[in-house]
Amino acid sequence: MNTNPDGTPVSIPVGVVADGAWGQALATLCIEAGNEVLLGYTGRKPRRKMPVTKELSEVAAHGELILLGVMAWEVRDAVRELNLGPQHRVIFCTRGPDPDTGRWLTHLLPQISPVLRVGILGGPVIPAEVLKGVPTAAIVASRYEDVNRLGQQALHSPKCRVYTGDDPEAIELAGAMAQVLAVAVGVADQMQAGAGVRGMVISRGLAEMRRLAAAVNVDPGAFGGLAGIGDLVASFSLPDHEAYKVGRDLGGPRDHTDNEAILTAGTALALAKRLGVEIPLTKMVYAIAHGKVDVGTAMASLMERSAKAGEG
Amino acid sequence: MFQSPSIPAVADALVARAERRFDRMSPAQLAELLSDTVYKERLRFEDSEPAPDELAEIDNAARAITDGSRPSLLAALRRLVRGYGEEIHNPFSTRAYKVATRVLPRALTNLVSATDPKRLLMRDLDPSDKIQIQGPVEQIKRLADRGTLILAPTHLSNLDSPLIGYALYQLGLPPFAYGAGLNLFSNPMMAFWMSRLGAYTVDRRKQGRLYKDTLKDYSVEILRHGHHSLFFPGGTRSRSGMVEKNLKKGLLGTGLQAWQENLNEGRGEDGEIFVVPLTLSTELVLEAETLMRDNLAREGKQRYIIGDDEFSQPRTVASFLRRILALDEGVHVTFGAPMDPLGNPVDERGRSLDPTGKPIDRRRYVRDAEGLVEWDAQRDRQYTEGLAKSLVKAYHRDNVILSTHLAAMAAWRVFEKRHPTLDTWRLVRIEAGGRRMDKPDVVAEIEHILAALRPLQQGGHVRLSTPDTAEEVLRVALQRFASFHTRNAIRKVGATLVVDPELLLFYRNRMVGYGLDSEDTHAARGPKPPGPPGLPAGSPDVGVQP
Repeated sequence: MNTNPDGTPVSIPVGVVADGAWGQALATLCIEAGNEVLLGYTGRKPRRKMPVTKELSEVAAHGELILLGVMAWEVRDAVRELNLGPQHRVIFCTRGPDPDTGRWLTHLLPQISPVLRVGILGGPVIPAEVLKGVPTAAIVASRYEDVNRLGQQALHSPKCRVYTGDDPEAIELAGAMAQVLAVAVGVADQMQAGAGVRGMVISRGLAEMRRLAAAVNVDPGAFGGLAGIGDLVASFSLPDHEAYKVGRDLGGPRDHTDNEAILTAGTALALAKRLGVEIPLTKMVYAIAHGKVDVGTAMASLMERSAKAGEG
Repeated sequence: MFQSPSIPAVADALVARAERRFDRMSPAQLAELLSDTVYKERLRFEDSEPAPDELAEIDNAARAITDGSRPSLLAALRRLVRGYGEEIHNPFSTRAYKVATRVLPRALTNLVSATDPKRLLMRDLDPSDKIQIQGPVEQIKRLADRGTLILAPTHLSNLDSPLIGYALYQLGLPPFAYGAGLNLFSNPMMAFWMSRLGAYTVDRRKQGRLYKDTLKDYSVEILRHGHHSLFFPGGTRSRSGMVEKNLKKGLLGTGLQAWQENLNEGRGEDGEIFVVPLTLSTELVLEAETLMRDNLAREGKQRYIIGDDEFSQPRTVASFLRRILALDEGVHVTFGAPMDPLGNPVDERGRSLDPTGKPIDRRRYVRDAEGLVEWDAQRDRQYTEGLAKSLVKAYHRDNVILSTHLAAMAAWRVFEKRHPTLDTWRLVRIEAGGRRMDKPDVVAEIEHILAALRPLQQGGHVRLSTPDTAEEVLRVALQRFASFHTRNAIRKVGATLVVDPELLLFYRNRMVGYGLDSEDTHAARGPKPPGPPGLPAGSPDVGVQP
C-alpha cells in the first residue's frame, strides 16, 4: 500500500490489458498495492473476482496509467481498441520486439499512437506464483521519471518489490533474450547434459546478451539484474514455464516455430547478423526449432566451437 | 509588428526569472553557480582581453564567493544576470525594418558586405529568380497569425541568416528574433542591421551555466511576448557538411517552456507556439574549406568561433554571392511541415495530429487529471528530445540533393575503392598522385547513386534536384566546383579527374544519413582511426530489425 507523507493511503486508477493468468496477476499486484484496477481482456473472461471489461476503450478511460501485457503481435490491435490519448502513460508488460518491424515496443508505441510517456516492465514475475500470493520483484524502466514513479505506485507492495531504471531498451532486450536462453537451458536439460553444461549455457548465454547489448548501445549491466539473470533463473527453475518447457520439447514432433521465444530468437539473430555479433546459443535454439539441426548435433557443435581465451 | 521592450525592462524580467531559480537553491548551490561563472569567465579572459567592467564584475563575484553569505551571493548573481541581459537584448527597430524591407532585395547585398553600404556590389542581381523557396508556406503564414513561430534551420554558412531573412521577406512573413554570434557584430554593417532587425547577441565564448540559463530565459521571454524566433538547433555551422543529426536541446526546449507558461496563464490561441523546420541546400558553401579543415582537426567541438574564415573577407563573400546567385537552382530554402513544441505535426488550424493523422489535445501532455499544468523538467527534456528527433527527420526529408553533392559522393566512392586499405583520415591526406581517377568510373557511380536515390525521392525521404543523366550531373558539378573555391573538389585534368579529398568529403557528407553507403559515418570520424565496429553512438532508434 502506497502512502502519502502523512500516512494516508494513495490509490491511483490503473488500467491493465492482458489475457489469462498474466492479466489477473498484474491486476492482483495493483490491487495489493492499494489501487483501483480495471482489467481489460481480449480472450476468455478472467476467473478472479475483480473489475473487468472486454471494451478496451473503457480501460483507457479508467485512468492515465495503462499496463499493457498482450502478446507482442497483438499490441497494434490493442492500441487501436484502447484509443489512447496524450495523457496516457503506458508500461509494456510484454516480452519481445514488434514482430512486424523488429522495433522495441517502447519505440513502436509513439509511432502508432499519441502516447509519448512509455516504459517497460521486466523481471521474474511469475503469474502462477503471484496468484498464490508468493512475493516477487520487478523493474520498471522508462526515459520518463514520471512513468517510473507511477509504475512503482501501481505495483509496489509488500508482495512486490519494484525497482526503476532509465534504459528501457536494455530491459526490453534482457527480457526478450532471457526467454530465448530459458529455451536453451531447456534444450540442455532435455539432453541431460549435466550441471556443468547447464552452467556453461547460462554463462555463455549471458555473454551473448552482453555482446548484443553493447552492439545496440544499451546498458549491458541490465543482464545481471532482475530483467536478465533474475528472469532467466526464475524461468528455468519452473518446470511449467513456457519457454523452458519449449526447450525441453524442442526437436520433437511438436512445432514450436510460432512460440514467442522462438520468434524473438529469429529477430535477435537478424539483428546480430546485421551488427556482426555472434550469438551461437540463440542460433542453436532457432535452428533446432526450425528443424535445421537435431538437438544432439546442435549441442555437440556448441561444445566443438574453437577454444577461446577470456572469461567466457 | 511586435513592440520591442526596452533593455532595462528585459533585464528586469530576466533577473526576476533567475530569482525564482535562486530561491530554490541553498547558499552552497548559489556559491557553486557563481564559482562556475567566475572560473569559466576567467578562462575566457585568458584567450581574449576582457573589457575593464567585465573584469570588475568577475572580481566582484569572486569576492562574493569568499564572503559566502546568501545576500552577497544573490547580489553578485543578480548583477551578472542583469549584465548578460543588457548585452543579449537589442531593441527591434520598426523603422530600420521598414527601411531594410524597402530596399530589399538589394539590401541582401548590404547585409553581408562590410564595405560602404551606399555602394551596391550586385546592382544587376535579382535573387528572387535564383533562390528556390518551397514548402507549406501558406500554412506557415496562417500559423504565424495565430500563434508564435520558432524557425529551426539547418546551418552551414554565416550567410544563412541573411538568406533566411530574405526568404521570410519574400513570403511576407514578419521579422524573427534570432541569436547572432558576437563575432558577427564585429562587422559594423552587420551589427547595425542585425541589432535592429531582431538579432539578439549570443556570446558563445561565455560557457558558464548562469549565462546559458539567462540566454534560455531570454528566449522564453521573447516567445511569450509573441516574437517569432529563429534558432539554429545544430548550435553552430555544420563542420562536416552533414545534415544536422545531434541538436542542442537548450534553446529548443524554450518553446515548450513558453507554451506551458502561456497555458498556465490561461492564454488561448495567441499563446500557442509552433516549430517550423527549415532546410537550406546550396550547390556550394562559402566556408566549406575552413569548416572541413576545422572538422578534421577535431577542433570544431571546442572552437565555436573560427576567427578568420571566408566570411571575414568581404571580397570573398561578394564573389561567392555573385557566383552562387548566378547559378540556376543554386540555393534551395525548404520550409518543413510545422510541428507543436513536442514534435507532433500540426494541421492547417494548428491542431496537433497523432501518427494516424487524428487531431489530439496537446495540452494533455502537460496537464494533470485536474487540468492544471504539471511542471516536470525531466519530462520536458524528454519531450524536447522528441522534438529534436522530428526536426532531424524533417531536415533529411527536406534536404535537396544537388549535382555537387551527388558527384562528390560518387567520386568519394571511387576514391575509397582505389585505396581500399586506407581509412578516412589517411584518405584525406593522400599525396597528389593518389587523387586521380577515371571519369567513366565516377559517371558509373553517379548512375548507381541516382538509381538508389530515386526510390527514396519517390517515398518522400529526400528531395533530388539534379539533371537526369549521370554525365550531365558530373558536368554541372565540375562547373560549379570550378566557379568559386580556391581548390576544386573535383577538377578535370585532361581525360582524368583530380579530387581534393577534404572538399570532396565535405560535399559528399550532405548525403549521409540515407543508408546509401554501408559506412555512413565518415564525417563523424576525427583524426584517429575509428574504434571497434558497431553502431554509431547514440542511435537509440535501432531496434531488433527482422
